[in-house]
Amino acid sequence: MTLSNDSKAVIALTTRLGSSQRPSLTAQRWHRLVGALRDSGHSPSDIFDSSLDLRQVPGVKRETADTVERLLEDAAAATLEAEELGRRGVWVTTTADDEYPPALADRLGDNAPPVIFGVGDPGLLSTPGIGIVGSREIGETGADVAKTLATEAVSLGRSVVSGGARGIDQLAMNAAYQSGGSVIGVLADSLLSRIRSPEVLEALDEGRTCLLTQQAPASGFSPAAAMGRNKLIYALSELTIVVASDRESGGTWAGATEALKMGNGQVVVWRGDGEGPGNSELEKLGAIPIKAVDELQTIVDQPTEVQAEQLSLIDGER
Amino acid sequence: MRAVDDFEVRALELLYDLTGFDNVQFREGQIEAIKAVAEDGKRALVVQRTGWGKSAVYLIATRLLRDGGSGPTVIVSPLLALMRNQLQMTERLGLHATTVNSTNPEEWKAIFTDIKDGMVDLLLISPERLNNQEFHRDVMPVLFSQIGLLVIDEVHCISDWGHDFRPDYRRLKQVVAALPPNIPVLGTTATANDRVVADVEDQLGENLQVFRGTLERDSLALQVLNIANKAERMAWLAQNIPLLSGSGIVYCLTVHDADRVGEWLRSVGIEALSYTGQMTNEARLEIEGRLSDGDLKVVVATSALAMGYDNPRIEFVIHYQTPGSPIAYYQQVGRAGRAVDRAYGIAMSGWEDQEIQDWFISTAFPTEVNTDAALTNLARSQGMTLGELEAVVNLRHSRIVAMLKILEVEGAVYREGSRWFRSAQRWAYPMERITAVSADRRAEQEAMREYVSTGACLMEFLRNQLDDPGAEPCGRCANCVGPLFSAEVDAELVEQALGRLRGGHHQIAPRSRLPCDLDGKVNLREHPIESGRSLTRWSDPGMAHLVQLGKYRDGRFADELVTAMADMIGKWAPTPRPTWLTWVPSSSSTDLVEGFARRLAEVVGIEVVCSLRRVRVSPPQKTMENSCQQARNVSGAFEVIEHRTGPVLLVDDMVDSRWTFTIVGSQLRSHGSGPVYPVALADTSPGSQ
Repeated sequence: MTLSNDSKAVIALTTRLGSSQRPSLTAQRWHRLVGALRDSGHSPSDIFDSSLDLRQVPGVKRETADTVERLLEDAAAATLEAEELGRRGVWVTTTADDEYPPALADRLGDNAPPVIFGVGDPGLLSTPGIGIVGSREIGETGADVAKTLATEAVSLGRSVVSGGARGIDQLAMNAAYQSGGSVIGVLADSLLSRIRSPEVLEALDEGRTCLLTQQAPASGFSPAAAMGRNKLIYALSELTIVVASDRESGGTWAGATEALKMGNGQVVVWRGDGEGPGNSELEKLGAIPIKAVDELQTIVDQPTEVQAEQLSLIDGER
Repeated sequence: MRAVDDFEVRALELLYDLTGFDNVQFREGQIEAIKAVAEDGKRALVVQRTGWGKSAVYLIATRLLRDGGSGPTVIVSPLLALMRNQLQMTERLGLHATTVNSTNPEEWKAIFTDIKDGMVDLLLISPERLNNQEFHRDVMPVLFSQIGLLVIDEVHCISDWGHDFRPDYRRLKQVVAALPPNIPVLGTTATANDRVVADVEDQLGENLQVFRGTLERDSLALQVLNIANKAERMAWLAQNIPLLSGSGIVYCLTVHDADRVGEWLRSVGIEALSYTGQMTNEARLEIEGRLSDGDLKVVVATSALAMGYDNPRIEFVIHYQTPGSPIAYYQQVGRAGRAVDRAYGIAMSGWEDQEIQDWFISTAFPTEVNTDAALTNLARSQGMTLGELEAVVNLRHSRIVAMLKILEVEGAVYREGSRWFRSAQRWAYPMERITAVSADRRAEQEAMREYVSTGACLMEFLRNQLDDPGAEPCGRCANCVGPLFSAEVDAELVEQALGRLRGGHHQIAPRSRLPCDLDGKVNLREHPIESGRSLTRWSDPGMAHLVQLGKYRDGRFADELVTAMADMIGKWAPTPRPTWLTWVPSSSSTDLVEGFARRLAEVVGIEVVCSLRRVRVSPPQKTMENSCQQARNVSGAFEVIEHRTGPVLLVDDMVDSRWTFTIVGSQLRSHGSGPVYPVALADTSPGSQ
């Protein structure tokens, strides 16, 4: 893993690598800073150039300039931790890299995480994938639906994107992997402990697997991180199927309604045996219904302007 | 004449302070390199011969950077001696220098507080530190956030193509690549050809400024002596070293040779000490100090005393065996003649050189079978200790450690505490790269063979090998002016050296601790064996040759060996005196060892008892590579069918890991035999060669 100087700038300013105490820039502040730099003909790595005074750059707030100055003091600690992660096989990609998944930048705009961490084949992130999500507690029928949808997605040439949690997530990913497909696991936490697992190491060795996270790889679980994870699943997938969701509660509900509201991705909801109590409500909110597994192909083949319709639908309801 | 600016005036003042001479001038390239890092914040590479003044560049740059408010300089250097010399010099510029290394962990905390408080101007660390997990986690973030200049000494080691590429430097390369671009980096080396320079340029990043000077050394006169035989070379050293003025270094290829040649020179009255990588840092520093103080005539060293040993008064460097590359040779011989008018570099070329170099080449990288075994087991394990790895990888302990180090820098494994883990990085055995590097080593080896046979100027040859554009005939070497030394040696000294080589009985130290569980069948604490003797080492001339003939050609060990061993036992005189003798039955049907043992018993005059029977045929012990594998291979392979209660001589032809002697001897003791003394014809263990 070789980091470009621009990527080092992103890591130094937006992550807590090197020290959990670092007051890093949020995604929005970072993207605004990059915009201002580019408007003045600078690249992100120019922040390392001591002859550049950020306060003189139009569009850069004084407060941001001060924060950047503080963050630069221990920039090396951050970039060196990125190198240390590399030794464990964890790669780091930033919005300054060509490898950064285009879908994330396109769909999330200023909310796109400036840095993502991952293991396995990052090339999978630029290939079409279908998200499959749902609650952790799931009945036998729901489990079968998740597995069948995953296998169907693979037969349509898609990789399966999911959250790597118990329940639907793992069932869908295992089914996809076992039917010879590729899987992308978006984690909310603990990437470093996940790569201790013999099963994960074996799958990585096989090569049809990519795990990623926007959280520092050593970090533990937090509800905010779980929401960030959901956003990445919707944004990475050409469409995401909600197999079973609670109503008005739980991470699946929150992730699906956020995606519908923000237009971060295309939401499809299972409407058949095994669905959850919130599924019908999600359809009302604009999710595309799917009633049988073999409908997946038709939905996949549809043009993707649905997002705009969903947005206007939600707006119209207000 | 070029205008001199304020920066240069100040730099020159510092040069006065550093050298103590007020008419001193910068050498070509020095001020430019100082400017590159201290004024322009750039990355620079300095390729200049030892003694040119590379340290003046980074010491003055440090002073200027500190005066300008920058953080401290960190020098990464593999050299212990350098550290000591440098620490003295820094005071002349009012710089406070310190070092963190494995010997002073209790001081680290205070040193880091000093660094944070801006009290440290210069910090010296070894490249091994950078590969140390705790250092990397706890220290480097703080250190590298403060750093004003990073100096990498002996930077050629960073290159995959460098003749002495080191895993720790590979990590350093990754660290440098990860640093923010605003940290100036200065790489220095005395030995790099075009390709190594290109490789280093590649790794230190774009916009690297390169300062490269001549490698000529006017005082050094070179000669090659082709003396194939070890005893004759030893005799030559004994005969000629007392005639040479000043002190010097004799280089050997192996630890064993360095030890033995050192012993030999002492035995003929020369003040000589051996210096190898197996010695402690303190012992090495002491020897370096004594050599610098002129307190020793000669140090007999392996390449552990190669880089940067900073003693300008070395007057001769003699190679007992030739190294595998002209660059390595130049680096070692370049230790001589820096501050003296006349110095000699003599390369002796022996019959064994190529075999040893071949071994270095072929073992530079672990085999695919072994890396596979390690990685597969690690991936399934959720972490393993070294001991656990030894049970599943058939490699010597030290080679497992070496393999893990390589796999670690390859990114295939990582360590946390005492456990090793498979990384999440896919990794394939880099056959192509290994083949390319081996081919390169072969070419260097070939170039070295050319050096010892060429009729052309030797210094010009070396400078050409290092792509020095100014290479020309030196007018000093034996090929330019005729022989400086005669290759003839005194016959009596040769006899004496030969006796020394042949008389190299050495001790067989019993094993005291089981490497892994053997189902409780062996208890070394209750039933230990005594220390014993082997008649010779497998690779020695003389007796070892007879052992080889007996084993592989004649099917019978010569009577000469029986007499020699009886003689050895007589001189050794173990007490209590052995009263009976038995042997370790071989797995093949031949009675090679039995026949020898029976004849030996007759000459020594004690009872011989057929005491042991092999109950399981096991693979030869020499194919088992580590203690655990070896001990398991022997355990349960023999049973005691008869014994006496007195002290016993336990005879075998070869001794390698000592596990056969230890375990079989322990079995004899547990059956009620007296003390067990192991004796063998030849020691084949790698450490003895």
